[in-house]
Amino acid sequence: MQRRGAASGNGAPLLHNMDIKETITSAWSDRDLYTGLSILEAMCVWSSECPGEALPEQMHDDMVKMFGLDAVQGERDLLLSTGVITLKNGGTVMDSKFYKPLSSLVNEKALCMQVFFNGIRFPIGEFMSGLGEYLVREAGATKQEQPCNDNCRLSLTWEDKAYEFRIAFSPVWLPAIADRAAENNMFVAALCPFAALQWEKTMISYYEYPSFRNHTACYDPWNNCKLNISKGGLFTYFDWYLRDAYGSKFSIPGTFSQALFDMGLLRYNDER
Amino acid sequence: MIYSPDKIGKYKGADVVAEYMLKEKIPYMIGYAGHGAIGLLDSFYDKQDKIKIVWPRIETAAGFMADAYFRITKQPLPVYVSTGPGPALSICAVANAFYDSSAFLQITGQATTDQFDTGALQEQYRYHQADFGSSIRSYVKQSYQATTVKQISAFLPKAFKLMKTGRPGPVHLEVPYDIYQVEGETAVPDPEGWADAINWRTGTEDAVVAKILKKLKEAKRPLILAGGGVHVSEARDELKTFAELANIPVYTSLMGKGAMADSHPLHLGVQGCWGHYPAIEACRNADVILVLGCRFSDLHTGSWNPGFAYNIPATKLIQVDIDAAEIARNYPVDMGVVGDIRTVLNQLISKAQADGYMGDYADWHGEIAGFRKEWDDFVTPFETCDETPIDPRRLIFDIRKVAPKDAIMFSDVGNNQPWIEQYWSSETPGTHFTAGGFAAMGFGVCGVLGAKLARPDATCINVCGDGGFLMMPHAVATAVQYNLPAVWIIMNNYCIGAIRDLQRFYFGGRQIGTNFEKYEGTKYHDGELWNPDFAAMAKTMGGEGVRIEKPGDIAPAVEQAIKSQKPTVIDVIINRDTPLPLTTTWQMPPIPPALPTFGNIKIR
Ligand SMILES: Cc1ncc(C[n+]2csc(CCOP(=O)(O)OP(=O)(O)O)c2C)c(N)n1
Repeated sequence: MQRRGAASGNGAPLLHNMDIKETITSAWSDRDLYTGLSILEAMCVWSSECPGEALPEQMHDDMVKMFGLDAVQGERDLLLSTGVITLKNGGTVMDSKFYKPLSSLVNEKALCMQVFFNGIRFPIGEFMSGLGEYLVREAGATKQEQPCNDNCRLSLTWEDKAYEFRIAFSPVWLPAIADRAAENNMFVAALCPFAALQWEKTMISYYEYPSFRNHTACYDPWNNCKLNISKGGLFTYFDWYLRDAYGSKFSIPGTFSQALFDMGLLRYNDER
Repeated sequence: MIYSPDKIGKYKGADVVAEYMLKEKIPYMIGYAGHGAIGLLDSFYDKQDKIKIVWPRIETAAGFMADAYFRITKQPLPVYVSTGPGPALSICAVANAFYDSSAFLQITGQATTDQFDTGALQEQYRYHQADFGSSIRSYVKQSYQATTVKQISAFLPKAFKLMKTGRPGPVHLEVPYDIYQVEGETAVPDPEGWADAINWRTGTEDAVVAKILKKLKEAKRPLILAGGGVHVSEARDELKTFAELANIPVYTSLMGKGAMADSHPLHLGVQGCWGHYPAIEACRNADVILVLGCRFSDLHTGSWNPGFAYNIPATKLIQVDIDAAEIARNYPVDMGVVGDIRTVLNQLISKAQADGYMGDYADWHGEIAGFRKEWDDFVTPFETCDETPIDPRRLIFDIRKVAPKDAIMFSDVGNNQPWIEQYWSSETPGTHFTAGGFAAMGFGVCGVLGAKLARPDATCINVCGDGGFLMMPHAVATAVQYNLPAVWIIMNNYCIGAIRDLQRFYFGGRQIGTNFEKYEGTKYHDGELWNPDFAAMAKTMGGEGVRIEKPGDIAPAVEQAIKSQKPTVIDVIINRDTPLPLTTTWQMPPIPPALPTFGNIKIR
């Protein structure tokens, strides 16, 4: 199937959705792949959460905070030029038919991210398979089949509640799924290098929302840190997995604790 | 007919009480008289060689002393009070005993039976005649009102049975004061047949024992939690035997402190808001915990905030308790076992020995060694801290250095309690006491006298705050009166420290109504700090007193107090601003929980 991109008015090429992966990849060849993938990832999540709806301004602003205006603008223009996204009410919308190939592109790349433990470098995908096995074996969690063979996601049930661990380039999409997670009494953890993106500064405002603070968490196995005050009891086993499999520990960034303190979710027991 | 006819005779109501107490081999009756109690006292007049009447200077103190006596001996004492205000003043002590599973028999007087609902002096009559029972009911296992002599005979053995069996707790017996004096046909029951012959130490089924051992064997990071129930059940030896057999580390709740010697290699310390990091970090990592007599209170669990103290339900609990109501009260259990702790531990020991079970857990012990080092590195410098005002930790370390190993330690309530919790090393099991449940100030100040009655040869020390001491300073007079050479060590910070700290840390530092200071004419909260001279007070009451301001003077003063065999008050001026290291958290909703000030900050 062929269609004209919404940006065809400014001369976008006609694209076959199966070619899109290649088109995008080649377009990225002279750019920062990481930023491109992060932004594309966020758009994919948004389009699957709210098909046909324009990307929220706040999510766009969060991306700008993490990657800079130029980078975000550049990626947006690129995607517009390929027709993957179109403009709608000042925002951008991804054409649903591109969701599958593009999310598979993002996932393929995400699974190749390398983590480093005990002197060994290996793909994050391997880290997460180990986590899945650990949660089944040690916690008695039950693995759920991924409908779309999405290897970046690990879905489980534990004590009658659903959990999802997602490998990601950035956690910028987490607020987008928080309400749905809360409605379904589900807990979602992003495994991404958030520390390098200073995500804890960006995301903290979302802690005002109970759905976000109670149902999402963020783990960074690259920097061994975590952001989690959620009520997802299975996440304890994630800490224990790191301890048992790699002799390591997730720490909590001081900026995160301070931010929770500033918003009145925690206190320090001194007179600061 | 409940009594065999040959035992029946004519007795005054008060005689039944006195005769029954002889049969129970009660050594002391503690209390405070009023017109509602003298009828009772009269029947003890000729029995003073066997039952001594001890009366401190307020009814609450009598209850605290009896409570302490029970904690040490497991023998409930009768506590007599008059009608109206006397019983009202003793309620606090009854509740204090009830919530710590301790016991005594509170005997209250009442208006005479023919005056019920007249509003006679000190009768509670406005909703129901002779109605003190309504006030005490939520703090006792049972409240009896005897309106005939025969009922006194019937209720007394039931009262002792209730206090001594299962989960202990105080019992109330009310006797209108005419009933003390009138004669009735009855018998003085024999405790043997009505209470003592009951074996309440229930164990569990063999299959359950096997299952517990299997779970512990399969665990990689098991722990044993010794709660207050271990003391109540007198299961300290069994705890040690089983822990050593299974090679499983042990930690305690505040109420369980001293269930095992602090220096035992398997002992990790106390879990709680102001607990010990090795215990806390071990709890956060444990896969299975064998819980013995612990109810998982807010102070113990970081107000149930996940990650601070525990990671339950990831950590599985095997909870043993004599009271089913406490099992799975606050946390779900993997296994709940209703049974007496000593009996269940003995069952576990027998089965473990038969199976040749010796836990390995080498890696786990290795991890724990790391937690211990972190804590020791933090604590050790305070042993020699030379600062003035005195660091509270230095004070406690110095007391420990000179007190005998088996010294009995009562903390009071307030900051002094967690200071003792965190820094007093309880070396002889069963020698640390505190009020953890109802947590009434003054319990330690008076309780130390009950301890002296129970163990006259032991060194009995109370570490209290200036607030708690001044609630019950007359304890010194009682000690002098009865020659009970206890030692009171006041952590004098010119404030009710625990509450002032809540204002400092939870209420933005707005201190009001918590400092002991002089009113200087502008407003009530800008005055100079002031307290009476506690050492001088002690001296005027016939005891010894000394004020300590320099760390180097602590040890000699404590040594001298112990040696002197005189009731002694040591007033120690401590640094009032030193905050207790918070090792988990405690929450006062809606104020959010505080982050621990020691150890890696854990949020989950
Ligand atoms: C009878 C009673 N009244 C009030 C309280 C509330 N309370 C708990 S701790 C505390 C302060 C204790 O002050 P102090 O005895 O001076 O000891 P510190 O905290 O200074 O060590 C108070 C008032 C209580 N537990 N018991």
